[in-house]
Amino acid sequence: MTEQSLALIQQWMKSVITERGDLVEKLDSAAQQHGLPAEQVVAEKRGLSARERLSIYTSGYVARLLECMRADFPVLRRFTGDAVFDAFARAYIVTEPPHSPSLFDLGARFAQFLDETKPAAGAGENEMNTGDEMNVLLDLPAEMARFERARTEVMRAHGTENDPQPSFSPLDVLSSDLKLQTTPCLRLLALQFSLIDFFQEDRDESAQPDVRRSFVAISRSDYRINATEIEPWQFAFLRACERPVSAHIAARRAAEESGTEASSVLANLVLWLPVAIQSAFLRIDNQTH
Amino acid sequence: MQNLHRQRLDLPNLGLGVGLRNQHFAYLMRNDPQVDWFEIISENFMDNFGFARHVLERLAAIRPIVMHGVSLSIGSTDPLNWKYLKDLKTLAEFVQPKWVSDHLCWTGVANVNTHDLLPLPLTEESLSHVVERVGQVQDFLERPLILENPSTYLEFKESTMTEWEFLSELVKETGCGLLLDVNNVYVSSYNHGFDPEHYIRSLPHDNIVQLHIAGPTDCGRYLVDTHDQPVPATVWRLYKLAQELTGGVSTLLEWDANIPDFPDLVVELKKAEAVVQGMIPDAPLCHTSAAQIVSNPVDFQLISGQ
Repeated sequence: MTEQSLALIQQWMKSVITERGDLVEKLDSAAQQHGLPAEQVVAEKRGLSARERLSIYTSGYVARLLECMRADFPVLRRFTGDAVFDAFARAYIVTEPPHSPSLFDLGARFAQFLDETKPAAGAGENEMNTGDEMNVLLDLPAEMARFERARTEVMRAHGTENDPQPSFSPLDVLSSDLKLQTTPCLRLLALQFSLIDFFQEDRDESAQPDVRRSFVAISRSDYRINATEIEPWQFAFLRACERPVSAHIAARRAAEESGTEASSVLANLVLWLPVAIQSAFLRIDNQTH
Repeated sequence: MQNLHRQRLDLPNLGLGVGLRNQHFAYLMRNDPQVDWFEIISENFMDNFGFARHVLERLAAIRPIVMHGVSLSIGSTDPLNWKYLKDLKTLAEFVQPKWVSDHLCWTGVANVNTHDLLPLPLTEESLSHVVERVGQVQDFLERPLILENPSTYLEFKESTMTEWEFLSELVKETGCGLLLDVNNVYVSSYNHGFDPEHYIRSLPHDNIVQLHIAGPTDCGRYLVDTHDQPVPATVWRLYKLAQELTGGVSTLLEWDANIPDFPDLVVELKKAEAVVQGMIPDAPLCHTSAAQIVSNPVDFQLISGQ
């Protein structure tokens, strides 16, 4: 009989709980890895076998994490239906068991997982004339997951609720020493679909998102989460402000990336900057301003 | 850390409290809390700087707060997670809790966190391992750690002592406090066939700082700690015994799935006042045949409702 140290018992039980397969497969795998059959580890009493007792933990593990995934991605779940969503989420949980002490981190890589495991592009192209559109649609679950994750992150990030009212004139944009930085509660998404309307609570449940390149800023103001579709130059400008930067330099980068005249970006910025600050996209970097 | 043998480690009896849950944020921001104190799940707030943190700040200004963790994993053979402990200490500096608690369990190993409260083999090796880690945590947090007895569904053949013996030795060696969950005692006693009253009578009562009460579910041949039901009469009787033996300690009602409206939760909590006077509610144990019953539910950790 194998000597059962605390470390060995814990490694064995972790394998039983997190390995793929049904209980029999999990126990076989754990027995092979650690040389311990369940009956040698778990006491059998009161008419409950070792396997029955372990099954309370193994089924609870997946059910508990699945419940978290359902709560974190409700719109994706409604879109795909329960059965498909649960299949995605179960595969994710088994493939990438949680490492963090916080359940907030559980869904952090779900969008990436959906991207990495989607069917290869081109599948079905011969059968349908709309092969390209089908291939784009394969990206939709991951994009929706990315959108929902961004909203969750924004909800919990440091916000601007306790910031003092910024004092600046929109014309400060024209001065070269105005420094800006995006807020910690801003997330920027470049999407292949128009998802904002799809995430409205009063949306038509049967509606499909349009295939359309879109840029979205998700942020939080007064504890309310807002998703706003923004222009390509605005997206590029905000990206340029992810580190403290002068408005002039950010405008130049935004112009280069979006193919817009720098003077046009600066002119538009005079009008848009107050909105961007009010929407908690940006803060004035007071250390230099 | 110096051993502490004063009653309740000189920690106060806070009265009757409930867990702070997302589902009640809106109500609590508009109404008087009606309870003496709140317990928070530490992990829900450690990395949350949004509305939940705002609600917590407001409530901490008017009611005592206790921090209750689920991921310390004090029994794991993985190294202590110092990043987690630093975040815990930072939250404690913000909240100024009356105390910080977690569970006698392990949540994972090999850097995997199952988010379950897994049972330990109750051996001399485990005891020595947990004693050392409790000492490290107490030194780091600069306060006694309060540990809760978990609900368990299996026992290990290697175990050489009972849970109450293990906890008593742990208290003696570390001076830590105990969070006695009388519902968990009841669940484990049913599942393993021991006398729950003997368990409670055998603990070092001076180190019991807090009690948990909750409603479990009868799944036929075993009970599961579901926290989704009114407290049954059997658990209330154990609660009365614990209050008699300790001389009166802080009480917290746990309700973590199918969470009722806040006023209904308060009604259930206030039953504790009648129980200590000997009036035990005639509440039955809930039965189910459902296959997918989940122990340690996580509704309270989900984002919905925020």
